[in-house]
Amino acid sequence: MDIVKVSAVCLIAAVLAKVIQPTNRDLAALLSISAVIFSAFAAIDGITEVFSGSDGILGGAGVATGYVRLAFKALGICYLTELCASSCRDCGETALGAAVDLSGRVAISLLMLPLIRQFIEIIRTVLER
Amino acid sequence: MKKIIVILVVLLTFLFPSCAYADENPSTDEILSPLSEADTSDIKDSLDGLGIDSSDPESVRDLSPNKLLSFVVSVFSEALKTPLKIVLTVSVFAAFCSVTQTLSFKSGLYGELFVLICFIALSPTMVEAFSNAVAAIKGASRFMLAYIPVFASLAAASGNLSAAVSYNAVLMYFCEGAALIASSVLKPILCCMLALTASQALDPNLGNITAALKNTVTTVLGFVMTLFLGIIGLQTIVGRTAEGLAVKAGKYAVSSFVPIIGYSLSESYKAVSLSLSAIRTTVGALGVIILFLFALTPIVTALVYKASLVFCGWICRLMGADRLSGLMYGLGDVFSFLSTVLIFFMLMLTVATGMLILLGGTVTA
Repeated sequence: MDIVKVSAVCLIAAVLAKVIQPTNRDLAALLSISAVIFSAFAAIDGITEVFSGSDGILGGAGVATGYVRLAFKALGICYLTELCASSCRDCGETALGAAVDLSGRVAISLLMLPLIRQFIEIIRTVLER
Repeated sequence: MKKIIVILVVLLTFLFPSCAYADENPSTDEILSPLSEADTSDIKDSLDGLGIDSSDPESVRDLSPNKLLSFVVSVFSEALKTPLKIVLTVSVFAAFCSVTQTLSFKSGLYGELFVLICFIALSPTMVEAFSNAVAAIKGASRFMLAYIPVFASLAAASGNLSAAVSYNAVLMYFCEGAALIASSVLKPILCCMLALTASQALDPNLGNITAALKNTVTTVLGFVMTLFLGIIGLQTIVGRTAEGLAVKAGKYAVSSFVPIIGYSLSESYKAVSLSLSAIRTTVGALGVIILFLFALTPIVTALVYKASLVFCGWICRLMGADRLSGLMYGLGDVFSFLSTVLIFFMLMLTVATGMLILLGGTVTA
């Protein structure tokens, strides 16, 4: 992931969107969403390397790597929700942004459910000893 | 009518008596088996490593500071492995947590997710550390239950009968109590504190319950230790002086009233008393060393865990993961509590034995 390229693309897209917004709002919105998607895909390459690095570090320490995957899933849901909701608000669709927010919260809650069950199970086992 | 009923009841009582009697042949195996269950193989290996032969108490003199220091360092290095893994794990999750600080959408990731993950990942190692500490207390108690009567007998033979009686009674009571508390109270308390730590990390409104528990128990243990050691110390010092007077009076009587060999007899008592004191001192020193070996590994482990958890808490606070930091400091309080209990247990037995070694003989001129 080349941060210079990503920053340059985002800046250029932001300036262009600002310039064409008075004349063509739809194109400006499309331009900004395209820049967001390009940045997200560029970041995914870097995230994959961070993920495998963290996996290796914790795997070497004998920690179950499932937790790292879970943390990355949650982070991914958060960032996706953040980007989509912000893009919707940028396009003037506040209600859609709120709907995306709500979906993100539900997705995180579903992700945390097995953790909460495991946590309660551990507490029950610990207190029964 | 009433008299008839009373007479009938008395007759029925005599016709159907209930039998109550003591066991005629108590099995010595039943009495000795808890003592033989103590796992002392690690202690024997440690004694060999320090160059001390358990069959020769005089070999205690060969113990050098270098050997002791290298032994402590080896225990410390062994104890450091798991806490380092904990530091690594928590650092990685703290880094993830700090990344979420940039998000405006933080639902469910306001530290709660990482608190749950860290707790689930770390709790098995912590419960294992608790089990090892409880096993060490039980092992040391079993050793002391066999050692105390022997050492008390030596102290009594050295001349300080009241100190020996006090030492025997107080420490037997203490060791039995410690074994009972370790098995039925300590581990449940530690597990409850573990659960409370997770709860207070997830909901900061609960306050710092584990720190309050730790401070309360530390105060109570300090008071109990002062009380017990005060009793043993006072009885040792007072008994030493009183029995010293009795010995001097006896020596004077023997040297005055026994013809020809009276003086030799009274001086030979001094030789016997000094040799018994030497035996008492070496056996006492060996007992203290074995206690130290029993308690060293769990104490060092608990302290290393505490230090690493406090360090993790500091890292989490630095990265902005406040809830994770709260969890780490709370877990550090649990290990602080455990190390306090272990140190209290070891100090009680060591100081009491040390007092009897130093002051357990009679005053001889």
